[in-house]
Amino acid sequence: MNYTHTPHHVIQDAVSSISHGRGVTINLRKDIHELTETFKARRDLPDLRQHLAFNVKELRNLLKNFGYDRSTINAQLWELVKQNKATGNFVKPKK
Amino acid sequence: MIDRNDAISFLKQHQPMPDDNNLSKDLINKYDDVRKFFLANPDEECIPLFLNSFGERDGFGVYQLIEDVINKFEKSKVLPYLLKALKSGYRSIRYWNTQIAASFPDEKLFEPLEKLLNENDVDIRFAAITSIAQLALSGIKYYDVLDCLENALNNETEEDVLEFLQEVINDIKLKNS
Repeated sequence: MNYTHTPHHVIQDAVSSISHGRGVTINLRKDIHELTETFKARRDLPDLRQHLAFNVKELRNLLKNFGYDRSTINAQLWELVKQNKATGNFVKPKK
Repeated sequence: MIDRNDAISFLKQHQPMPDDNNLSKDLINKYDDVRKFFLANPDEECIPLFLNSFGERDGFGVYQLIEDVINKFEKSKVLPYLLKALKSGYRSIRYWNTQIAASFPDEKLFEPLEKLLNENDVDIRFAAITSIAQLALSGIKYYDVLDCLENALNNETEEDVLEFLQEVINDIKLKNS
């Protein structure tokens, strides 16, 4: 058990089509989790792709401000994007 | 500024909270204020009230932090309420309490957690696997836990739950070897 960290849903659970337990998460320090815009709030955006982009951008800034090094941030965020894409909910609509 | 009476009264009125689709900004803000109040001022009366407060989804990321409040109390204070909440008629309450159960390993939890391994809800099954494994990892009912997880492995149909079950069984065996 890790009492300093918590699974932070990316994309946020409230807008996800996946159940809470199956949603993609990053294990985040609780104080950082509480600083995200989706903590205590629903972010209104038109589609899941934009939710993911916004989450990644927000986490990149927060993790950078908390002193995480760039390679760690990039690796973790890349994994988040990869796992979200694997859910099949981010397929680009055919033109 | 919130006081004890406000905080208790708020929780009593929200057993449970509305699901996230009907959860207003004001309501979740107040709920979080109540969480912070009891985090700073632990009071046993809040234990059953928090354990029965969970609405559907995750309360915009707040529900997962309730465990910090519950962890302020000794297992003997939490366990009676936890055992009751694991049988709640609300899916969301059973789900979050199954998660919290991992922090309070006790042989009294074995039977309810074993039942929760057979819930239709996949999320509850995932949480039950984690919490029942925590019993074995804490030296409680090792062989019973292993048996019931192996039974679950034979009955499970969801691929990701099967993978998780196998990982957990391997982990338990490794830690005991």
